[in-house]
Amino acid sequence: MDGVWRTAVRPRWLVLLVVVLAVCSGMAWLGNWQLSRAREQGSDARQARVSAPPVPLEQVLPPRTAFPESGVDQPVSFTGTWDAARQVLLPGRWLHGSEGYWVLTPMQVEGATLGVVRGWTSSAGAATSSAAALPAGPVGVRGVLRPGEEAVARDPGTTSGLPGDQLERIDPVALLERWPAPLYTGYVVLTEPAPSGLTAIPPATGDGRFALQNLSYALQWWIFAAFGLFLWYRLVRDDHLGRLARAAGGDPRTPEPSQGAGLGS
Amino acid sequence: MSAALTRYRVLAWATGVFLILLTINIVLKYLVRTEHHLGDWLAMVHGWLYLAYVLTAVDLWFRTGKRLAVGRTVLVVLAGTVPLMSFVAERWVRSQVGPMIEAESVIGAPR
Repeated sequence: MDGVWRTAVRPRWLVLLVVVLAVCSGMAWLGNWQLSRAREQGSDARQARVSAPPVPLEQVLPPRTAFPESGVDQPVSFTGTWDAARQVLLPGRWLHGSEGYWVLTPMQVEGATLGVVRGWTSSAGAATSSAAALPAGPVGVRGVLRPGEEAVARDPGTTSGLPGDQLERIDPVALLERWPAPLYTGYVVLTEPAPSGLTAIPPATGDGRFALQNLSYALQWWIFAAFGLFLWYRLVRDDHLGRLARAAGGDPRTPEPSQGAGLGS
Repeated sequence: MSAALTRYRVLAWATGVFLILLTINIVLKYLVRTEHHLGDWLAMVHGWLYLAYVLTAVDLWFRTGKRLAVGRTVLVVLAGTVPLMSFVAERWVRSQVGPMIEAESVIGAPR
């Protein structure tokens, strides 16, 4: 396709190129925006729910009660005492594009044990030193309430193979082996006070389903952007072929050589 | 051109149907605020169908030798995002491209 670029630099095609580039960069930007949403956030509804003012924990989930449906993502406040020695790490948790651990520290609240996810870290050592810095007495805490995670199904007699201070899921049954009974049926993702030495976890981190939707939108925007550029090239090429045919002394009414051809040709 | 028209028409209908479902879903979810809405996967499916719809529409435009008016073709492309409009667009495209296909079959297609 020699010389197609000579056609491309004609003012009409250059103007169209500027328009196409502007529109396509907008589309690519929208794609990136959707990607960041897919990574960092849940749905708008969930975002609004976790930003609501907190209610006292005992109003939503007293100890020894089943987890209520209305308790999912409910911001709560309570007072408790950290039990840093019984801290547990959950490997394979992603945040801002890196893999690391959720740090789950038990707290004694109203005579029962409540798991509090204090934050995320990429190093197990940082989790230990951050636990050592926790205050010994009762502290007021705020966070977002979540139901316990489902246990990983495994054949009897086999184990996860993880080190002793690590668990795959925040599963109340598995935690009963490590923490003093009774246990709360849910856990809390800490929002205040901000954890020292750990990265705070956004309380509405996507649950996968919404992330997939945003990811799909991101891909679609990028495909549209690429298609816009391709369309510009395809129009320029048609114009160029028409010029070549006319320059070869053909009938000016001769249709362009690509007449009737589809996008792919 | 006839196969391209069929492809476009199939996608126009599929996109149109999913856009209606998506609209109902949005009403259920944000206005009626019921938990029993149809699910967010509808938006995802409509997104991909719309992408295919745009490709078939532009492909058809090329195959007609760009004889469909540019402005109208842009409207046809945008119609896939407005509830019910893809059905209107499909009717217009059929009314324009149908006679072109008939004319070709009389004089012999250029290819």
